[in-house]
Amino acid sequence: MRFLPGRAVALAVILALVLLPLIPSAAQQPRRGGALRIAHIGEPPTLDQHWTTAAITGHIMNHVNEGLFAVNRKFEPKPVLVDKWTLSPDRLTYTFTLRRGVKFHNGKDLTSDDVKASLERWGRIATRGRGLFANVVSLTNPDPMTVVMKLRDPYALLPLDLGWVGQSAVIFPKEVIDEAGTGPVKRFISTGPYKFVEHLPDRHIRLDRFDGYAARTEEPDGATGRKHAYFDSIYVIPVPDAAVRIAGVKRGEYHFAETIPPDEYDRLRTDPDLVPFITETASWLTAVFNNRSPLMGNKKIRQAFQATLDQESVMRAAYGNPRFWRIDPGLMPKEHYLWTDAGKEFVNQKNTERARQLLAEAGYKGEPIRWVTTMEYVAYGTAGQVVKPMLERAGFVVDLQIVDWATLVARRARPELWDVFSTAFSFVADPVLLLSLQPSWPGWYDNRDMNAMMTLMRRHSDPKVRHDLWKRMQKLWYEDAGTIKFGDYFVLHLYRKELKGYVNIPTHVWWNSWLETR
Amino acid sequence: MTGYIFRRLIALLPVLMIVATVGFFLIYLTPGDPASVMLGPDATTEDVENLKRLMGLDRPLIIQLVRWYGRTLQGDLGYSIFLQRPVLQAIIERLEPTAVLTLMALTVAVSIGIPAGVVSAVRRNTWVDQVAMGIALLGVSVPTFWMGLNLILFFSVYLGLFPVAGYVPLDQSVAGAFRSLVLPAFTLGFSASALIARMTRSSMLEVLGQDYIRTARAKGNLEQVVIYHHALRNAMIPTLTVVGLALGGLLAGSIVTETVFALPGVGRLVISSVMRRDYPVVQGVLIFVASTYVLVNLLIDLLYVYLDPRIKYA
Repeated sequence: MRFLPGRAVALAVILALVLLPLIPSAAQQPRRGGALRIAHIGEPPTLDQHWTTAAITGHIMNHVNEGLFAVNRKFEPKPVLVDKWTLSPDRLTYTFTLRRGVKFHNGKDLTSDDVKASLERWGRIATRGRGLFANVVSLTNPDPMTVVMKLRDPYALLPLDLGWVGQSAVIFPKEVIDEAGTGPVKRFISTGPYKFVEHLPDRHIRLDRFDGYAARTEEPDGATGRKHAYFDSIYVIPVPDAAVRIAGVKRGEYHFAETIPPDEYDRLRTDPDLVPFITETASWLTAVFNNRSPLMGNKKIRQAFQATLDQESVMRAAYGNPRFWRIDPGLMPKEHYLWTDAGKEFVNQKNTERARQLLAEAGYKGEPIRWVTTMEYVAYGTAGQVVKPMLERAGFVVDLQIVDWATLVARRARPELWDVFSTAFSFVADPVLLLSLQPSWPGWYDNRDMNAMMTLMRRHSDPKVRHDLWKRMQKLWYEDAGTIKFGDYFVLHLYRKELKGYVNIPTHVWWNSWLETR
Repeated sequence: MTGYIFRRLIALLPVLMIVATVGFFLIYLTPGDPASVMLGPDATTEDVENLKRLMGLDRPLIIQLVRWYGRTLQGDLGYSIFLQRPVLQAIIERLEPTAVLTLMALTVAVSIGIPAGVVSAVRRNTWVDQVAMGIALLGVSVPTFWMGLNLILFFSVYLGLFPVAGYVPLDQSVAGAFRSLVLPAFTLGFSASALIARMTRSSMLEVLGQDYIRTARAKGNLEQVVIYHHALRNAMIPTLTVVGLALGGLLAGSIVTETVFALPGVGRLVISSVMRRDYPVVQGVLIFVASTYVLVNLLIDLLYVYLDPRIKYA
């Protein structure tokens, strides 16, 4: 066949038209460089992740610190600093082999000495760490790349516990831990893609790219897999006023603003430069009962409280736009494999008559229910104000005490000072981590059957067995009216369109994200 | 005069002792503690108690007070629980934005307040007077946070003239520091100017009715000379007192303004330390603000002598 230039051109055009959409556009190619500026709600109470459960510390330091494991988008634990790990047939001995070539930000190689020292410290001071280490018989490091953890009883969730985002079991160099003594660490060194540079209180926290970062090779997935540090620097800037955070993002001074009032959503989504982002994981708004108080220790009074609630009104008042809340009986969110609606008949009852009857059976004589709440988190205070008249219609006398958050936290530790307090629970990866089921946590919900089932939950790893067990636990929790779950809510964040690749599960992930040239 | 200044400085000590003691009890008797803030919302009671023990917060209040007195008398304001540095250092680090902001705000306040007061007094009961006093009323009544947010919206978001929030230190860029403080200084200065304008007006009205003003006019002096040379200087003493009070108010008012504009100054340090119960910092800043207030008042008292040579301090 004779070669025709015209035909070749036509072929090239057709090929180009077919193939062009398959080639990622230049705009979508990650770009290295620039500084990400994040407007956060305030200052972290400490930057030591072993110490605090405060989410803001994790938002920042997850970019600096790494642990043996982390969770992916399905909240499954995957290795980070661990290369391989095995569990003995009796399910009591975990052996972790560390990845070779991993360096700390000070240039030192990661070894099992660092891991042992870090895990021991975490097991001494972190709430979850202490819970886990109560079951640890020994933690040894037979060679520089191996760590062995022996347990008393089988514990199916050990990798998840070590990889969970809150108060994480992150690894510091041994010398950093030695110099910290009983206090918080003084130098913030770990193995993450960004290294800590400076903390100027009320000005910024600065992280810079760590050029010696040893990335994994798996595809990025949640907080696991390959991590790229595209930004030269990340600045986390405390901006306490939400209106100023919004103005700053609109103006381009910040690329990302943490927690924006949901009422702003409709206005912000019309701006072509902005992305209002609703978190994909739910938290729940709650009223915690004091099971040690004479009033709320009475199951019938708790049930009366539960029976009277119109939860839709509470959530509408607290969060407004229905995109930001839902009524759902599951203590685990709908997206989780253990979700169940067991106990749904106890939700949103709006049954004042039944509440009155339960109060009469309980022998309630109008003693004031001391409900401690705060306007520092507006939704908590709003919920109290909306529920108060509901309770009063049923015959409760409510003493709603609005205080600042620090006062609430101090008061809730003393059972003689309160009957109900307001808070919210953020998403956790497994029911064994749910605070409202821990007998040691303020509220002190302590049911023998529940505790026995919790022990089984810790042991079993079969999803089917765990799901059946969890259904029974959730049902019991509702029957007992252990705590009130008003509903799920979702948080709104705001960022500029040029920020690409941002991931919100399991928490803010700004590694692998970049700034597109405008 | 030197003796007077010395006596005033000595009198500062009991003032500071009273402020410090009342402040100590106020902050320690407020519920809440730094341990529970530091450990976060999910911490157990046991963890919080352990940390309080480590911090020495479980000791009786009176022992903590005595220890604190002991340290303070040696000039040691203590160590910040959250900032991990000496309190004095924390205050000094925050001084620059607050000092520059206060100076700029005072400039705004005086340069709006005094001319507005003078014009109102000279043109009393005309529309000029009513407009000026109407604006002054607005300045006193509008909350600073609302004013600040509206200025941000208009001048930063719509016009793009100034940064939304934050501070550029002087050693990085003088122009940057100035730009970052224009809106906060106007927010703070505008409300203070209202007070100064009202005081200048009433003081000027009083002076303008005096015999020596009539004499000055009768001598054929120009009206400007009468107003600025004869009247204003005599009307300045009450105005100066208000300026001194306003300066103290600016330091206190900067708590809200620094929070809205995310400025890393002393006001912001106060509010964040109160919220997280960083006791040593709250105490240190109280002493610092009280000292500044007393010293500013002393300075104002000394300026009276310059304005009115009849005043003598023995």
